[in-house]
Amino acid sequence: MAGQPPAMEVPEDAAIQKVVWEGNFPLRIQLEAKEVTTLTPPPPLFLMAPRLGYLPLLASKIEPHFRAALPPGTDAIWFEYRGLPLKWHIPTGVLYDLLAEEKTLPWQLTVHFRTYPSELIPIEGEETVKWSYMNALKEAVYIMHGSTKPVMSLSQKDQEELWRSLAEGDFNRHTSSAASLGVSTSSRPRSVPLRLYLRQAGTSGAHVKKWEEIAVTTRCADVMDSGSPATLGGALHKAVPHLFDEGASNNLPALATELGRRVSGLEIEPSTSRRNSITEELTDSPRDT
Amino acid sequence: MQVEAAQSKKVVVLFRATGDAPILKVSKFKIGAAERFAKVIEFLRKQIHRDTLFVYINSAFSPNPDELVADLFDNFALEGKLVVNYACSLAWG
Repeated sequence: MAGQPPAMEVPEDAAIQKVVWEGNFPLRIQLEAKEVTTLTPPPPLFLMAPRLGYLPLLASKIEPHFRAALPPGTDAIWFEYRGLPLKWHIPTGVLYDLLAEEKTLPWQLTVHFRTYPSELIPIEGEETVKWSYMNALKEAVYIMHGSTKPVMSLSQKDQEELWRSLAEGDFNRHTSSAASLGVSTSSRPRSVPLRLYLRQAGTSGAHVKKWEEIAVTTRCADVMDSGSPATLGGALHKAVPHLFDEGASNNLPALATELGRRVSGLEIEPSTSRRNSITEELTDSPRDT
Repeated sequence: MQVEAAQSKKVVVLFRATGDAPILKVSKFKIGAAERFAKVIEFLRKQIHRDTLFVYINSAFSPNPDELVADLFDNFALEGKLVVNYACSLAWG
């Protein structure tokens, strides 16, 4: 996914990508009490979730564990964290960074198989997640290159390969399938897609009750800034200038210097110049500062 | 993100039918920039009375219904209009 950075940076970028790809964290999943039809509730399930993955992709591991306890009906899996239905189209690691109140692990979630909430985007199995991912990829590539041609010209087989590599969290497989995407070898992108999730000022450490408490914004971050490579800090300055105002709320102490420190759970200096992510989701929550 | 400005701001959306999708009598609408794209899809669904609908930006990709109209407009509008293509069957994959 590198956009022709200087040769010296390539191994480092690949190493960072590999670490990001291989990021996993433990979940403790229990079945919603209302959906338990057995006398003894099923024990919670512990499993590792890839940071870059999506929650519904874990269904094949979760459902068999709870199936015997479920009431009759049709299954549509969804997850909840302390009353908040989790948006499945946001990568699991981003959800954790954004919502987990204590950073203790495992992250404790409740799984539901009934009464799918209307506020979530309807889902019909893995195909819906794939559709969502492919379109997010097209949007990102459109921002980078001004067209979706690199994605559209993928064969069905290559497209499937790219998706499988993500669904299975296989970095090596992804590197080869991303190469077929052509983005890695094409010219330097004009801009980099940047998606920010921000908790409202003053909600530091608080429990997020509704998604309305979180602002999301998608920006095209320029690759060059006055002739030199743009930095993450510079891109954030442009994307959310109000957070950098001198009179910015006291609820956001030192946010200007702390913003953007964590990318997919990794500490990244705001001065870091990134010009090569395609679908990287960047989270920040002021309470982390 | 500039909440106050975004809430009052409206942007122009231009709907374009693809394939056998019914054409709207009026194709240009103003919509609040602070709305989610889901609102655009819902509006369109009512206008053409179809449940199954595929919606694209610039004939290129389907945005997530959760995305802000303001962001889509800022990132993808052409000549001051956000072009939304719609089809009743899969058009651009």
